[in-house]
Amino acid sequence: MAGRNVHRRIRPLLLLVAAVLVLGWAATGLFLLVDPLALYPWGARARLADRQYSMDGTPYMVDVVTKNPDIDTLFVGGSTGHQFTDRMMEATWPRSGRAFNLSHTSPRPADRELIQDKILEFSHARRVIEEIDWRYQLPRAVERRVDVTGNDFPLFLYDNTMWNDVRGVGLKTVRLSANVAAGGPVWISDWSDRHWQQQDRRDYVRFLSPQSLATLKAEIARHRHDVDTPSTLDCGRLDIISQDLVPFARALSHRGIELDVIFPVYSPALFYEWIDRDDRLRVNGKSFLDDHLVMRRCVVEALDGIPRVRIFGFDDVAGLATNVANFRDPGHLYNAGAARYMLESIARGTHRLTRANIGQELDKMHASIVNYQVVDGPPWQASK
Amino acid sequence: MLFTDPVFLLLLLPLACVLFYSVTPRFGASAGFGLLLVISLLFYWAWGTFYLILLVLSFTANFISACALLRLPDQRRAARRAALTLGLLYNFGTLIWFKYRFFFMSLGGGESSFALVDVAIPIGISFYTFQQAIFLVDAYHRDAAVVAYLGDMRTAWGKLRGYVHHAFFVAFFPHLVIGPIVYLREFQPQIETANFGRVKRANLEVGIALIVLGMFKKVVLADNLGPVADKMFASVDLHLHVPMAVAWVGTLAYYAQLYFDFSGYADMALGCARVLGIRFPMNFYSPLQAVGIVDFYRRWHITLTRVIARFMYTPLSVIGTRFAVSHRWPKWPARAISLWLPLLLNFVVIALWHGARYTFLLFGIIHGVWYVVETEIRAGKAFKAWRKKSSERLRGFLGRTIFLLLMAICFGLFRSTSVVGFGRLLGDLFSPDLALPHSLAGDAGKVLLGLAIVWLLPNAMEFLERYRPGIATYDNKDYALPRLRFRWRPDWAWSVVLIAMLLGALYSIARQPPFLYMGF
Repeated sequence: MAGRNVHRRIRPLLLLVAAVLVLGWAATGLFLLVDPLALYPWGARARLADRQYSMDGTPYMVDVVTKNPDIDTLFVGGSTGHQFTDRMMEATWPRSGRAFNLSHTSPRPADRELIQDKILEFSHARRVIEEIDWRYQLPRAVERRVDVTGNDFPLFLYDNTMWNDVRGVGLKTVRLSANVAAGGPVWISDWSDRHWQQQDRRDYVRFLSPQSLATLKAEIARHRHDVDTPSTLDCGRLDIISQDLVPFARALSHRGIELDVIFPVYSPALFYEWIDRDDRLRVNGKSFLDDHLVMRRCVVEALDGIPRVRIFGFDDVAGLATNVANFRDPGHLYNAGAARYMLESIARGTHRLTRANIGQELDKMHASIVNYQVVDGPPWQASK
Repeated sequence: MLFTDPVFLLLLLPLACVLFYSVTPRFGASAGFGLLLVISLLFYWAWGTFYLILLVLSFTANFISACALLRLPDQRRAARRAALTLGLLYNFGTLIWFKYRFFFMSLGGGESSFALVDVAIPIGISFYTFQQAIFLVDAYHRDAAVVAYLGDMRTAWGKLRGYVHHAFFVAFFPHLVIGPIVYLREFQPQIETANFGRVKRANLEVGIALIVLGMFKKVVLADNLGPVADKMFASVDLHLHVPMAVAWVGTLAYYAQLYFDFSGYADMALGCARVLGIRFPMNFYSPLQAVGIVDFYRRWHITLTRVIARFMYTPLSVIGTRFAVSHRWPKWPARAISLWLPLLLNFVVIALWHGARYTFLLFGIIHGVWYVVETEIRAGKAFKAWRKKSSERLRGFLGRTIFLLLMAICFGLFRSTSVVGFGRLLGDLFSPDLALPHSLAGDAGKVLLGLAIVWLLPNAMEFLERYRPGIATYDNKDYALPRLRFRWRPDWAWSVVLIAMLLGALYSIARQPPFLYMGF
């Protein structure tokens, strides 16, 4: 009888839901009060860890980084830009303060726009390096709407509605809050770059395997006839450039901040491989190469001439783009020496693209890609 | 605010429960309604002050109209008709202004103009407009539920109480944004019960179970199918050719996504109302298991279908029948005017209710024609003879196969941004390109899993059948596999299953696209 009464009193579902609710409230309270991501005025000035943040962590660091007055150099880009580590940038500009790379996987226009707004609103940086990848050749509206790449950028944390921030409460942010509350830096072990480095290494070995290279060569042979399909794009349709990039460049220029724009180095194989990659169908298939070249020309025409804005391209570096041994896949350079060289070139002002030379540079790039034969030599070294 | 918003789940809903169950037993149902009204308005305010003002104006205008309808004696028929007409004009006028103005403005301007249509449609306007139009018609007919619900309004206090009651019925947050569209006669008797406003653990448990099931459908199932569909439809938008297999996987992904998304919301709506002790009508009952379009519309968005059928199909059919009889029309023209035409108009209105797009219009026409053809086939001698000879299993299999192919294509049209785009999609669906790209296996696996859940498992209403989770409009057959007809109990085992689903949904909640039907 007593057992039955106990059974009646205990309602398992209500008990479990109450437990989830209490945990949810506790986690939310901790996250909002500690404010480890420096989102609110009451948040303590967050300390950066002395480590390289991976692309899992950088999307959460936008406020922490842009509100930090010690940060002097910022890099904004996608996965291709992640190779430029904070230490590399600090070594390139030794007399500057700390550098931070805010690159994250598959940035959409909305993500980039937000980071740009935060930089303009808070940042003390004197130099911004912005990477312009293939996404700039897509219509802004489509890029905004479609989330094909599984992008996890937490836009909800950065909008004007504090209510939305509660969506950021989870195991990771609770651990982060506890760490910061205990006096530690804004860091959790999940954000370590080590596992990305291991993954990149595995990708590199796999990419250079004979089987993978044979597939790549077959792909190139298959699309040799249509890789040069003419583009239907023109600068007027590339609205990410006109609506996001140019206003940002002008605003930085107006404040006396240097903006260095770089195009990532892709393997020419990319322009063959992506013609019929179904998960990249948002790219205009056969005209992908020509669309990309149109986009580069439009970027240079739009930015060249704005004070303190420079544009750089490294596709003309002999043995860099053409050699697959410098890549972990056709879209991602895997050569720390090359990344260092690119930063040093920016510091020196070499490899600049201007209205005067862009036509010639793009012609060379085009010829190199349409006539491309896979080269698998020793990785590129700066001393060459 | 969305039902999947953590602020709603962690704060607003628990707060609503605690306050409602504290206030109502002490101060009465009206005080509880007033409190829930305030919470509902806060819930709605998250979308903007302008929308909130529009909502308040809407229920105020309708209340004034309802007061006039109830106060004017039957002898003053013209005045009562004028009051009803004015109220309906206000409702449908605002709906048309906000939802269809660009359609009329862009007539002749080509399909590209339709991009504007989605811009400024107040959230939930389609739902609360219909809800109030029904309320006014019921008030015109002096429906007993309306009279009892608004109460004695001869004094100022009575009027205020009536106003709060009406405002609460319209703005009650579980059904404000995406329905279900509730009849007052379904709602009012529940508040008359002696236990209304008192905590009943079964209500809490069933409500929570519905919320968890709905959230899981939306956040875990629909939101994982969404990118598969988006990817394919974006390619079609960009005039890119996609292989046949990719086109089918993308189309079926949207088909399943829309169901999980919308029915997930409906389950959550029923759950939110149920934790407060209120039972709503069911809006879905395994529509994707249907064996034909007639069966489908008894299971899909039931509360909209029944409203359109009641206020449009039935009167038109009666008028058509009377006309045909009085003019002694032969059989087929008589059927055309009494059945086919009303059905066609019924489906066109349902389709255009979603918005002013040519794709929706075509969707409605196709569904209307399909419904007519299926009705005639099923009424024919040949079908009846075959029905006697064939097994139910064979009929079910054939019906479901034909239905799946046609309905998936129809929803491809529904999702397409233009009729021309749909033409390109059709070209891809039946193209000879048999390529099987690398990532297809993963996407196809997601779609198959979604469809397996739809076809094999019981729906939320069946699952919670023991506790009458919703008010049934139609008597629908249970198609789930007999061995998998699980029925829920609030015991430890099922509670652990639900909590696992809840934690899974909460884990994914940061990626929170809006419910698809919020666009309508």
